[in-house]
Amino acid sequence: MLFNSYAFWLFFILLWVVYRFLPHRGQNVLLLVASYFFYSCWDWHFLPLILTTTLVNYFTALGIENSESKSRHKWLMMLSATVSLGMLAFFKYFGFFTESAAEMLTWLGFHADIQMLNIILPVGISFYTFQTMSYTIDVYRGETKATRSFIDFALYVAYFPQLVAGPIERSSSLMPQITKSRKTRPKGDFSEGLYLVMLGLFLKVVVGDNLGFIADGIFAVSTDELTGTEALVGVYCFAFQIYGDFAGYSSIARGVSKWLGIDLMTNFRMPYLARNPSDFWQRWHISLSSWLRDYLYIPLGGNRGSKVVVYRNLMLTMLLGGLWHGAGWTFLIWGGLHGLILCIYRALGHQVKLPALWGRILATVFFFHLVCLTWLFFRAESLTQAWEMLALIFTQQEMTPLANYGLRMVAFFCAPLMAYEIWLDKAHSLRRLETVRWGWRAAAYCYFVFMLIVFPPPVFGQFIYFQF
Amino acid sequence: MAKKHHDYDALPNDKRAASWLQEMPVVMVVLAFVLSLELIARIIAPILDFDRKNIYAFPETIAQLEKDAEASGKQKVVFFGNSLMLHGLDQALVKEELENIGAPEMESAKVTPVGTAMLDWVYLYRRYFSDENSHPDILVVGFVRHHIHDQEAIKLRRLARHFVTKKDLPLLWEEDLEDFHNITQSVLCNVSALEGDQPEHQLGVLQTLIADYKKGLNRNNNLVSAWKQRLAQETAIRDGKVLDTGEPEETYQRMLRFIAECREHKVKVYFVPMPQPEVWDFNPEAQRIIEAEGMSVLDARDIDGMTPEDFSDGYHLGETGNKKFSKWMAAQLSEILK
Repeated sequence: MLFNSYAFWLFFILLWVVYRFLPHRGQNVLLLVASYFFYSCWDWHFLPLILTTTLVNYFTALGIENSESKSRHKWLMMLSATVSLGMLAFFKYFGFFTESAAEMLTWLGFHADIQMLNIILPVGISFYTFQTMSYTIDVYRGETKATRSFIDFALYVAYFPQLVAGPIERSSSLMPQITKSRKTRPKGDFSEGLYLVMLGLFLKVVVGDNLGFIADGIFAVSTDELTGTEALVGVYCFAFQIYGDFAGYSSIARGVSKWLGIDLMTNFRMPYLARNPSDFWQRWHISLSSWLRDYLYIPLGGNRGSKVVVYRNLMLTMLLGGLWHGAGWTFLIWGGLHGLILCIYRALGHQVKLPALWGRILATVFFFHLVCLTWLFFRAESLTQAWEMLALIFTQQEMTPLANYGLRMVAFFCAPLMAYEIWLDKAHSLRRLETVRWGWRAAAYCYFVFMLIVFPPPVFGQFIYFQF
Repeated sequence: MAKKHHDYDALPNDKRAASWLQEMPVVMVVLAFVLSLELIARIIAPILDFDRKNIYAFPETIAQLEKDAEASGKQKVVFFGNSLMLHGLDQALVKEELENIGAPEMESAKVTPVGTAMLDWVYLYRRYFSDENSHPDILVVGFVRHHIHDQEAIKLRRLARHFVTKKDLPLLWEEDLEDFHNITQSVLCNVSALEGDQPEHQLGVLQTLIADYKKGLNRNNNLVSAWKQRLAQETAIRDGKVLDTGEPEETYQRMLRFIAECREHKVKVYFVPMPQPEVWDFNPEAQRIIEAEGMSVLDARDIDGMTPEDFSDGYHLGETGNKKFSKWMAAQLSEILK
């Protein structure tokens, strides 16, 4: 059940109507049932996985809270992490590691007869595993109180707007909204939800899916049949596809959740206006980058220690961030490149001084292209393809009908979006449109609706991040 | 909510955010905007492109045929199909030839919306020949292989907007659409010109703004379809299955429905496999079904003297091909009309 499907909106309207008439506890039960139903629409076979994660973390968190023994805390924490990460490792990485091991043994001259399992990746497993782990770690650290209500905790794990593609919520933010009554909410849920849903649908359907169709074509073809300009256009298209797709999903999730009286975190803040890597990671997939920072980078030592240790921490965090996205060498390289960029920026960034306005523009354009370079590795089907496309981009530029069409499509769909984001960025606010006179908002919504009706994509795409 | 906000905290609503009541003017403006777009779409629909002009003229064409046949007492012949018949047949030439041969005369009309296939024809016939007196005596349907089998993809927006009546929507859902998304889409397209004619609006804007739009889009489409084929092959290999690269088995339920509809109104249908630059394989199963149902096939795949030069674009008949086909059709009709 995709957010951009009629079925989802029918489901949501029915849910919302019943939800409004229920008391708080009834609302939570309804949301839990709806969330499991939502997940079952993808594949009900994987419901036991969510239930297992929920049960293990619920009881280990309670066990930690009920015990004074530090060693017991440690054992329970390890049990919870082993089960959660074990399931993630099995379903997501088993195939990759066995395949890589077989390839390496063959390369070393051994006959490797390793049985490959064709394991299906349960949708959203990376998201709910990280969300659940953060809860148990917070309880272990004494930063959050373990909840006694199983229903509330199960809802925290499976809350449907953000279940399959985030944002990865924290217990300190989401849990109180589940456990406390949502009767007395500040005004604005409807208008903020409307804004987020409209923006999200525009990002996903208009920007993401239209440009994704071009990126799919260009990345599908052998590099012998491409020019460098076409390859470059393919990378630009993918950059906006993944942004539109993922930011669109997060935005719709937040909007839908607002209508249910629950605030979800901001996951994207105009990421392509970032001027440096550190800035970028405070704008892109914020829920994951802050998770990695709090539960991996800082425990590894963070910025403390020698330069070498800090660089090691950065590289390890980004490599694991890459691996979180998918079991493949291209994802590892993507993470490694971002780690490298962060290290270089840390080492040399302070030495580069650029003049005010033009400097900022130059830095933004340069960094956008650096991000595009990493997207090339992220999207490529193999390292060979990534290298070949990269070589083409730097060696063979030729404007063809496909390149011309792709570039103009990028401009047609993204120029208004980027102009809007620059306008937001100037005010340092994501909510500028929500607080201007209503006529401006109406004009923006009319534009969104016009684009949604007249420019739907040739093919409606799945959300890319479902596979992660 | 924690007092100190972290970057992972969900921020509460802005104090200046509008309440739902304050936001109503915005919602009303958006609704009014959509209604205005719909109104514009309805106004421009009959002149949007050649195809729409053609479709919107059907009621008048059919009414005129009915009137002419009533006045003259001649048999009514409708040339039916898509662009193959539209460009391939010259009605005036057919009539002239019939006169030259000394065959009985006829009143004729063309109902040939471009890019249509059997499912469109099923509903098109039900919609535009709904009046009991409007049914022709003879219906001549031109096609090539993929137009008549059930495996042809459905162009849902146009089908729902221009060929399916509101009354026939339940039939469409029951017989031809499976999922909720398509069923909803069919309703929206049926009631809204903006939705139903969306591909033409999109094409109009993008062709105006983007040079090489069609060329680029075509190349992109080819790349994506090649990729999908490759993906299907890779998936089949991974799953240890043998991928059937041959043509899918053709079925003809839609054609049977079309024949049944015509038979109910005592219309004699002649199916015409149309000429192409190379003679194509007409599935014998299709021929068997047509004949078993009491209808006939007039095979035009290999007309004497027709050469690849008679085709304007490698698919449609050009000026010379049109003449050859029209004369051939007149010869066939001279026998039928007797």
